[in-house]
Amino acid sequence: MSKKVIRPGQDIVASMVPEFKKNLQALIAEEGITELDIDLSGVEMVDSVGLGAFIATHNTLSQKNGKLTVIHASDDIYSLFKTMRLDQHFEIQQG
Amino acid sequence: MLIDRETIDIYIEETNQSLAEIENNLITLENMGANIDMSLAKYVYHAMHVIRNGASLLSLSKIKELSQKIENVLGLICNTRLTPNPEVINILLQGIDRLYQLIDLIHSNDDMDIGEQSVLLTGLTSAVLPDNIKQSVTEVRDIPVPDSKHVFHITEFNLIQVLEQGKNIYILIYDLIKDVQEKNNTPLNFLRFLQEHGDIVDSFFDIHSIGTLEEKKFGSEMPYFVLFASKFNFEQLADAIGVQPHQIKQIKSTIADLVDSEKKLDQPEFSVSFSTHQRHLNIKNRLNMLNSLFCEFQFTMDCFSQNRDHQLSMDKARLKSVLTSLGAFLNQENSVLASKILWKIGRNIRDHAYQSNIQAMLNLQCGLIMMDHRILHRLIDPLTTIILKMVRLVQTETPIQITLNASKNQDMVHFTLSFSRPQILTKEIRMDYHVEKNKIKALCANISQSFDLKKGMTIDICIPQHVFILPGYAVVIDTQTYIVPTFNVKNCLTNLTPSMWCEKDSCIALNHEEKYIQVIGINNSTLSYFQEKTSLMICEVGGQRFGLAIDSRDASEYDAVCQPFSNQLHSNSFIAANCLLEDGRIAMIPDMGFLANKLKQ
Repeated sequence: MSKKVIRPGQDIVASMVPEFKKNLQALIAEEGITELDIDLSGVEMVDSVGLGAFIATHNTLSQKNGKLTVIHASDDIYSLFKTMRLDQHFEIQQG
Repeated sequence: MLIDRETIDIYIEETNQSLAEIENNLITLENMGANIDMSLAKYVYHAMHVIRNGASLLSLSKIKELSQKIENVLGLICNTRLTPNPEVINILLQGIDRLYQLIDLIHSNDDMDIGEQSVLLTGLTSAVLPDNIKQSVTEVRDIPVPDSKHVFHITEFNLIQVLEQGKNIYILIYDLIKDVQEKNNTPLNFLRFLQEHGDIVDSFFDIHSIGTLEEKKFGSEMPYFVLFASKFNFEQLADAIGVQPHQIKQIKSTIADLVDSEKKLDQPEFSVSFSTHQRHLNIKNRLNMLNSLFCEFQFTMDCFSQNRDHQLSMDKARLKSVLTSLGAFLNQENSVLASKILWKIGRNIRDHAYQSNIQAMLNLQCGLIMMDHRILHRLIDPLTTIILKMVRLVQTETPIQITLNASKNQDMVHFTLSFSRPQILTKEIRMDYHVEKNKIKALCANISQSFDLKKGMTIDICIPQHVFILPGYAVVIDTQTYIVPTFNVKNCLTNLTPSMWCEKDSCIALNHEEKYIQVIGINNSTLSYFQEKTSLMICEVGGQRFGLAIDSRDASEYDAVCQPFSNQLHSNSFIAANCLLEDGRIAMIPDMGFLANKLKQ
């Protein structure tokens, strides 16, 4: 089991998702990370494509018996994830 | 947080006041024991409901969760299922104490656990329920999504609670890529919009359709299912939330037994909740009706005032005083704190700014100014666009802050839009905002832009605090647009042919389904004039029905903000008032009472 914390530091929106996705793939496939914490400090907005990135990361990690945790989510993002019941799939911690 | 500090401060102040009142009332209820004062219990329940709704709108998740649990217990007291004995009141007061603490911490980032209070309140809810209902707290109901393999798992108690509020339950089917992303919307705004029309009882993604990071289908679809409770019926809901009928599924059959059991169990409870819900609807309907009657009265009075007969002066003064009082009452009913609605501009700015990769924020300074909510809602769109245009004038990497300041002078409200740092624009630039200008002028307002080196660019809007709004249908008659008052319109007939018009009893009439409808034209009343018309509005004034020939095939609804009555208009006795449309055109408002009387003559 190898664990890592990543901090995107910018809004998780369609324009940055392709690059973000590549980084996540590299972390999981090449570095063998199975426990990933995504630190949302400084992230104020997640759009639909961004939400998809979180779910796809969760799905990828689940296949490897890994675990995704979202940490330091702003009030809005925490509320969004909770309302959409994403907390039933991975852990979300408020900032 | 997306909400500005001023709105949160208002919420804090109002909630603190409300909690203090709830505390006192709970102690009164405790002293009364089993002799529950129903009106007081319902008042407390409603006050907590308001706190919960506010927390929901402001995304204050813990306050929302705790106030929901307190509301559930208060609901049981209202339904006489629970007696407000010292033990019950003590648990409620503990919950309220924690709400006070959470509200104190809204502006800080400190967190506070609500686990203990939640357990006590949930325990109270389930412990006091009758055995047949108690089971529903833990009994999970499976609600399958039609034509899919997905299933909602929800406790029967939650479903019963929703049904008791007189709401219908639906399944909404979305694809977040197609229905949200491609419409330039954000998930947060999408949820908030939904929550304006009902409650999200449960929801889930089809996470397997979304796939993994490696899969090509990633980002192409995001199926999202919502179990939604709303007071709207099927058609109203589809219309309100703008979805196709196939995206809404009714689940009546899946929960039919719950509806029945709830009806059997409810006796006092259901009637309490339902009648409260109905009463709110009725109040809204009554207010609409009162507004319509006020408009009719205003037009009549305006005509009456033209009568120079001095003997009538006393009667005119009496009627005028009634009209003034009625107008003041309606103004009060329609007024809300401007900041309670205008904070949405700040949210729009931020969302647009993110999508355009610019950094902008709105500093909203509205104080305690009250305005008509219908005007405030119509200000959101043009003000958002103007602010975004202002932001785009500035070429800078640093975040731009725009201040929207409101002040009141006599009966006028002045809004000023300016850069928080005026020196950000060093030379005068004229901004083209004619579309937004027309939208604002349609609210009976003046708008102008100015520039000086001290204040920078400013946009000034001067708008009456109270306006005369007439709900109507916009139609075209002989190339001129008219607003026909909604309360006078009963039906609209289209696709009329020349042979349907005829002369009957020295009047023109339309033969429709073997009935003759007497008709009138705005400019002409000859048979040949009507034979060119293909549409007719069936109108009613004081029980008298008649047809008004129009050229439009469709009539769109429009809330006309009437301009101050102009004496010039009185030369045209069939015109009661006029207004500006949002595209800058002038529309006339026909005096339907005058037209009806003309037909009688």
